[in-house]
Amino acid sequence: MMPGRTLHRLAARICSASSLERIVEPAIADLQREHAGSDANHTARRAWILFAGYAAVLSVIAICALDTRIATDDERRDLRRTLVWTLVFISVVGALLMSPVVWSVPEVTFRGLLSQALPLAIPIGLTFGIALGLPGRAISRGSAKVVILVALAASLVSFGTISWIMPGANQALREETAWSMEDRGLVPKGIGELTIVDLHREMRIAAARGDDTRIARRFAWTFHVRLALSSASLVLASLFLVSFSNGSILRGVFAFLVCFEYWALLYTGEFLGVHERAIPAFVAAWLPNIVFTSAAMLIASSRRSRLRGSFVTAPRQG
Amino acid sequence: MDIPRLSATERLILELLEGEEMFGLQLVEQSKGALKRGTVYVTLGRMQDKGYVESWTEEQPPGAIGLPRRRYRPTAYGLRVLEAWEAAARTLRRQPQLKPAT
Repeated sequence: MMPGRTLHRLAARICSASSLERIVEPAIADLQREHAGSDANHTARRAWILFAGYAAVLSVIAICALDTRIATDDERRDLRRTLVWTLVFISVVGALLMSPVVWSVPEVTFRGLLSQALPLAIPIGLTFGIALGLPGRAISRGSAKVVILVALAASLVSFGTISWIMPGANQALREETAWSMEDRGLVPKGIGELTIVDLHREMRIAAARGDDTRIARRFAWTFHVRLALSSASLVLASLFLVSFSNGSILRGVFAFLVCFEYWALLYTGEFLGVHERAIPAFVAAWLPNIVFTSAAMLIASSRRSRLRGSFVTAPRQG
Repeated sequence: MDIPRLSATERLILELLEGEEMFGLQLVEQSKGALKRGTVYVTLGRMQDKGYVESWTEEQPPGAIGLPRRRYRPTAYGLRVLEAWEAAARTLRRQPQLKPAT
């Protein structure tokens, strides 16, 4: 199958006809030609061509989306400021989360540390980035879409990290710190070392047995909490996209309170869903997202919504 | 009259295209890492808007699948702007005692 067709469909939705023809299609044509010309027996080389080509086309589409949706220089400046604040907070929060582990577990690798820190640092960084970067006034529909696209990308990165990279790095650390060389290949996986696929399998086995013990609920909660944490960027970005207040200090304090509340709700859910078995495990894991999505919807429908000015339709003539 | 602007990337592209017309990926390969796949077409698109380069899609052989590639060549105006910038650079190089005010 010729690669790039899905990307072409995606670009056709996002980019203008002129950008599609002049900027996106040549990038896809390069990918297709390079892929067709590669040796079918060299799987690794073909995979690399696809990876590099897809990455190039995706970045071209992202630039097009930004160019076509953002009309004014002020909007570009606001979005640039949002991205800079986001990156600053991701770095600071990531460093704060990693530093205690570096002191207590010197064997841990940078990859292991980063994979632990990123799933939390990304949504927190994005929350503060939007709170401090976007202005305290209504924003255009185009800007809102760009912020949502950034949040979606952040969620995808979180998902990949928390679902596969983090469990792999955890297991590598367990094997590295095993008592002896003989033990290294035999270190069993704990719940934190299971990938999202492993967790789903354990959950299905427990469900088929009708198992509702705390262990079974722990598997289900961990599976759902990884999905919920991955989508936290999207949920928190939506909340801060619709709600606004004058004064960056007030917005910063609000961002801090929301992140703290998210954390509190996460552990409240764990207590109710896993320890007390009072609510279903998936509700327990998704509790913070349910609360903040409801809050975002409530604010979006109110007069105080930041999107209110930009999303109202023009009055009909006659 | 405004003097046309030419960034370092645009200058490099015009220099590479001076000898022969090329595809975007060829430009990336010839630049030895100075041009990136993800941004070369965006830069080429902007250069086309400024009138520095022109492009057209290649003829596809019968039965070919996939999208046609786009070839680029400099316009006479693009080459004139490049020449003017090179002349300015040569002038500044000949007078190294001239430094920007600090």
